[in-house]
Amino acid sequence: MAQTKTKSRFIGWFAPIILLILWQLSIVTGIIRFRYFPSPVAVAQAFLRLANSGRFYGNLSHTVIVTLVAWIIATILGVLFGLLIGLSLPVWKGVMASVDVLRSLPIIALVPVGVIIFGFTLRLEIVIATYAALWPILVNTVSGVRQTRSELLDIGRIIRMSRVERVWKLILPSALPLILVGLRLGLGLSLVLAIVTEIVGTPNGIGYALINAEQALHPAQMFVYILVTGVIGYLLNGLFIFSARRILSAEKSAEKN
Amino acid sequence: MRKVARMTISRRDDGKGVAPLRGLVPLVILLAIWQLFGSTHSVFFPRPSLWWDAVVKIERSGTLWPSLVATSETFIEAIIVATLIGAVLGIAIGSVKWGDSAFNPVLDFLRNLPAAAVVPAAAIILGTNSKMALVIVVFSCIWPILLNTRAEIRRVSVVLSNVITNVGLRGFRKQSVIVGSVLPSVLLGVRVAAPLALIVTILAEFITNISGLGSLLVSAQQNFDSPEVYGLLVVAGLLALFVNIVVSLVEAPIVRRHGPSV
Amino acid sequence: MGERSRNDPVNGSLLGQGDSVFEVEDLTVSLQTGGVDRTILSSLSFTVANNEFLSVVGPSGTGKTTLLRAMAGLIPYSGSIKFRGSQLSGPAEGVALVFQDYVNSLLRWRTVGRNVSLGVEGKLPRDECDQRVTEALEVVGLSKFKDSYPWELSGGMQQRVQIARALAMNPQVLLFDEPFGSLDAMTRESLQDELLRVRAHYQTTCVFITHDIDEAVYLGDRLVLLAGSPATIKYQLDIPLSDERNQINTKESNEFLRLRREVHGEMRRVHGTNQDEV
Repeated sequence: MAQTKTKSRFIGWFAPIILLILWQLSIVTGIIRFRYFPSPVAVAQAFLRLANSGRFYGNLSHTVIVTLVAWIIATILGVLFGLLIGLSLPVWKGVMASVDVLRSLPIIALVPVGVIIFGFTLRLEIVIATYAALWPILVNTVSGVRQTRSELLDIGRIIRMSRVERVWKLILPSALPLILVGLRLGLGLSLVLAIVTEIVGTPNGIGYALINAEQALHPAQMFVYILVTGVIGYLLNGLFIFSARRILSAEKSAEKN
Repeated sequence: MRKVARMTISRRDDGKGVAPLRGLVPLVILLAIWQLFGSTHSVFFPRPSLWWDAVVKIERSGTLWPSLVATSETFIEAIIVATLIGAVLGIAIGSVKWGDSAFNPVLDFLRNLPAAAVVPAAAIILGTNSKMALVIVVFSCIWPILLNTRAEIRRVSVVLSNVITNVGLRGFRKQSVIVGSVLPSVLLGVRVAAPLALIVTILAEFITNISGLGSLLVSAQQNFDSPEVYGLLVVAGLLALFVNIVVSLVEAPIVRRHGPSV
Repeated sequence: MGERSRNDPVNGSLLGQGDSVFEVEDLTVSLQTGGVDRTILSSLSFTVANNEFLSVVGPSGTGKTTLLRAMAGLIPYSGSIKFRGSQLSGPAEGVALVFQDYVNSLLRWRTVGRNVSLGVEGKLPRDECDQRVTEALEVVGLSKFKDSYPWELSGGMQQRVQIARALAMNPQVLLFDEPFGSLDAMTRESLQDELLRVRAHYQTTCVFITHDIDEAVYLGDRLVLLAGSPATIKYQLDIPLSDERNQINTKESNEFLRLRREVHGEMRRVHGTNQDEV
């Protein structure tokens, strides 16, 4: 059992390494001949150079902070309005179609609108990233709340819980798994849209550094930034899943006391 | 008979269902207020009627339809290519015993790579053209299709391989049974992938300025022509709506025949 | 122990044996289904005596559940439902409901113990609340599973958790909505006996809905047959079986067989040819 696990972990590392070696070989031997396609070694060298410069960390933290701030705002708004819409059938009937229209607008087409209103500012970045993250959180909260089983609602009434108690003890916990899914999707979108606004023109962050590297014809640096965005996405996602599990199990152990 | 008590019924529908159209009222009211009280000269919030004028103006200049066609072409080609490659890779990885452990880390990483970040790289390597846009869009929308197919293959493979051995299917027949059984999952993946593909298509045009809806948006924004920006936003929204409708139309009969997946 | 529900401060009723807990008169319930008002129950009149076990049988889809929901104060009705002498206008104190669908009726994020405490927490002092939970779990034989999660238990055990949750509220009336309908035959029989035992312990009035005639006769002191559309009471029957019942002797006794045959006959008569469904 333990052996197969180590084995599969080994295989998991195997594939990327082989890919990297193939990549390096194909460039050294000239099989792939693109003008601006850097080799892994060049990318690694560029990374070491960047890692010693302060700007790199400034850009990195800028993007991460914007992503998180936007995500937190979206979480508060999304869960709040999600509850409002999900808990009341008349409200749901009265606004949900509008929500569906707004959330299916291609978010990228909203960026120019944002640029016109806010210019290339920090506010633009946060507003756009928040807008993108808001919809999955809101929609998942709405459906989580609305999917609360009628049995649970009946029990709440028979036990004669107050409305607040019903929301807090029955509806929110039963909607929690779906809300968490929305939060995870929202986090990813928040990061992507932060990077998009940086690429398009906000003069800060990973996206900005990336587009600078492109314009300065530094493909190796550009690849570093691409990999960094990948790593940020991967880590944020992993961190979220980790803490979501902690929340769920903390809830369980609190129950036990 | 006398009425004794009035109580609200707590039964709800199952939380799915389509929201009634009357929910559009707030949006319509918002637009109406905007139209009535918005200024003609506002740079930030031009009246909705001006949006329409702006779109008509673009249409007259002869750039609207070619741009829409260019965007749609990239989008449709990308969906087709992504579906084919995604399904084949998904079946391949899902059918091999060590497939998951070998490819999971790589797939996980690539899947989390924001398409926006990859666009500039693709532009510098492949050049700024519609081929490059195609590559980018395929790269970013292939994941839901691939992962769904892989999961489904994994789920059905045990049962299915027994059936196949029992019935004695071989070669082409065997392949077609496998493809048939994963089809609904592939389509579910396409359903998730389609809106994503449209966004990334516009994004690629947006960042690299190759012709399409995205580049129209950029030039409108750079000219501070806000009615045009709002008008194009609506056009993009309609395109997205159209894509959604087409996908559910294509999906419906197949899902009905196979039963809903997941 | 037998008199405990009558000394209970929450339920504080001073009803004597034989007084009625529920008086239902001319009850009519209409519900909207698909935008159309449909009359489900039409002028039902019956009473439930204190400490009585009333079985309500009827073909599937007759509105038995609707009747129970009306008695629980969950749906609007016309006519009159009096609970302990006062008109019902919403969920009443002292009434607990046990659903058929135990999976969705239990809070999957709470342990068994915390599920059982749901109805009393915050209403009683902490130690009394704990004591109620402990007692209820003991009565249904789940003391060992206090810290497990519902999804870790078998179907029969989950249904017992639901019963314990109702018991912890120390209700005067327990309403059962086909509680054993989705359990296998073995589990169902053992839970039937357990229910009789529990009821003897708590001295609770029970209204028990089922479409299983054997179950209705085996458990009940009295039986009401509901049928038709809209449903009306077609038939009532006293079940003069002794209080000491068990699966083998009772179910093989001539009295049981006679009652069973009679109810089957009535059911066939009111329900026509669709008897197979029953």
